[in-house]
Amino acid sequence: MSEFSEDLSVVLAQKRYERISEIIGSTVKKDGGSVRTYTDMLDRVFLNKYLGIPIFLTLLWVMFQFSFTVSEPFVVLVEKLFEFLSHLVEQNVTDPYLTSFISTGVIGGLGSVLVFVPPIFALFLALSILEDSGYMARAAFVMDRFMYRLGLHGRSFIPLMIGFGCNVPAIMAARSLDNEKDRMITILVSPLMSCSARLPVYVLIAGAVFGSAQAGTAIFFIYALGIVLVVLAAQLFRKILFKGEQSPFVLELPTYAMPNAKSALLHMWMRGKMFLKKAGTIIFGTAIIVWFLSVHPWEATAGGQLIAESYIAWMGHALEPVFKPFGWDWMTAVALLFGIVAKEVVVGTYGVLLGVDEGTLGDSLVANGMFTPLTGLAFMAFVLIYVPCFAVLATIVRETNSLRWPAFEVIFQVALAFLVSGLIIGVGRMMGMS
Amino acid sequence: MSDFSIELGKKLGAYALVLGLAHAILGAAVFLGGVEVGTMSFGDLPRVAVLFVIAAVYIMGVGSLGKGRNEGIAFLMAGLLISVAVGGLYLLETGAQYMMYILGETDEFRILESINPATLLLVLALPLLPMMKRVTHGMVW
Repeated sequence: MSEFSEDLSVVLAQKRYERISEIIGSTVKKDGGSVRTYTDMLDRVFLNKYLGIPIFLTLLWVMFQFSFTVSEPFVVLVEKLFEFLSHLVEQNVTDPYLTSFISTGVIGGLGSVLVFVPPIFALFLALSILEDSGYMARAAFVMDRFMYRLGLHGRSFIPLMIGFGCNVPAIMAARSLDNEKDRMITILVSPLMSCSARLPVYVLIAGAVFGSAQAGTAIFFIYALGIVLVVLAAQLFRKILFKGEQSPFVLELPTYAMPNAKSALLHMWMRGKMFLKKAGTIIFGTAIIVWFLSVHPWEATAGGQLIAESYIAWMGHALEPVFKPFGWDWMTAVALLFGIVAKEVVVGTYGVLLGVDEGTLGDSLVANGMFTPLTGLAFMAFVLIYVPCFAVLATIVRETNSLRWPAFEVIFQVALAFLVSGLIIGVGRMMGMS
Repeated sequence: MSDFSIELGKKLGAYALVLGLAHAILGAAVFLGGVEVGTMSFGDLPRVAVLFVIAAVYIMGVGSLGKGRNEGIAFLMAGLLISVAVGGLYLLETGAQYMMYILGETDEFRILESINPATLLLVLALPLLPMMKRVTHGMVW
């Protein structure tokens, strides 16, 4: 009885559709199954057993390539704006402390994150177009067959796709899953989906070490790695933590529609607004803290010029041994530490520590010998996986009504980040890369 | 039993086969032959893989088109949609490269070298639109 009652809603839906089929079978004459609508026609292809997943991967790649390469000129425009503002401050503000605060702290820290507004908004626009066209539901259906074998529920796909924008609404969207075990697995794997907050880090590092021609592909690899880790983690959790049968996947597919420009732009703005709000609050606040720690003690650092004598350098050197085997230095250690607040802060921290213009930040990372293609790729993977940001942890606490699961998530993801980055470095070095 | 004229279906099927083979040959030339074509080169595996996906979509519909079945039109329509998405992306990339040149971030901009051949294949596929519209006249979403 308890097993039947757990799936009652699904059983009722199944019985309802069986009765509908019986009625249709006795009253409707079909003419050999020919397609009648554009939706039927396109579903023959997009839900095809062999073509479904390749088409999905193709459209996913187009989405990321669009977000990175097409937005590049707009990134340059924003960089030039902040460079202009920085020079304006340096020429007109005489007080060195105030100059350092505005130029390095505010413009350097916050500006180095805001330059990534174009690719982030471009990503949100692409996601909105896919959703409004009706294709996203088909992608969930296509992935269900694949995801079912790997321990994930098909309905988890939509929250996970939302995770490409932000993991917070992705975790909240898991409420749509009726089965508690499926819901918990979706909540625990969602942070492995690469959100838009990580995109500035990828764009910066991939652009610097791989060049603009290959950067889009490197970023696609990281997003694909996130999806693979989601699948593996889900299998692991299904086998060890949440044993039991998965509930069947029933989803009503909407008709296809030509995406409306106004609607797509509105959806893009609604999501992008969250990023701008975060930039204006959490990222700005953390950038100021990073600046303060990097210019004090004021005398010892000669007014912020000798960053190696600052409090932040002390913190970085204390953490450096942990990351030295990966070829990362103390600045990277500090960037990762402050990245726990919000992933965009990783870029903002570099902007403050290196004290260069946003346009040359990537070149500066390579020129200072901080990253090679191998260590850069491992770093991008580490940022993908390590510790969810504070907002995600707070959401997990709320959705699970527990502190145990967020703590588990932190330990699991940190361990996984070290393992995966270590594997990348290890395999790369075996192949003769440095 | 056919949904539209088999003669028209055979013409559409032949067109789809040519388009599919063109995409596949281009992908094979870049991947196996190491040829650099426009913005595509051997190392750019995703761009090559995308060509093979489009080729597969076009070619899988050839049989149904030859029998005058709407299912064939479905593959043709889907192939065209994916080509539009991919070709449109490459056009936008060309525009972005030009903007980078205007902003002084690159030293030169050569339009012929920056155009991806997949965009030209999309242009070749566009005459299919009026034919498809005729076949699917009266169909709703």
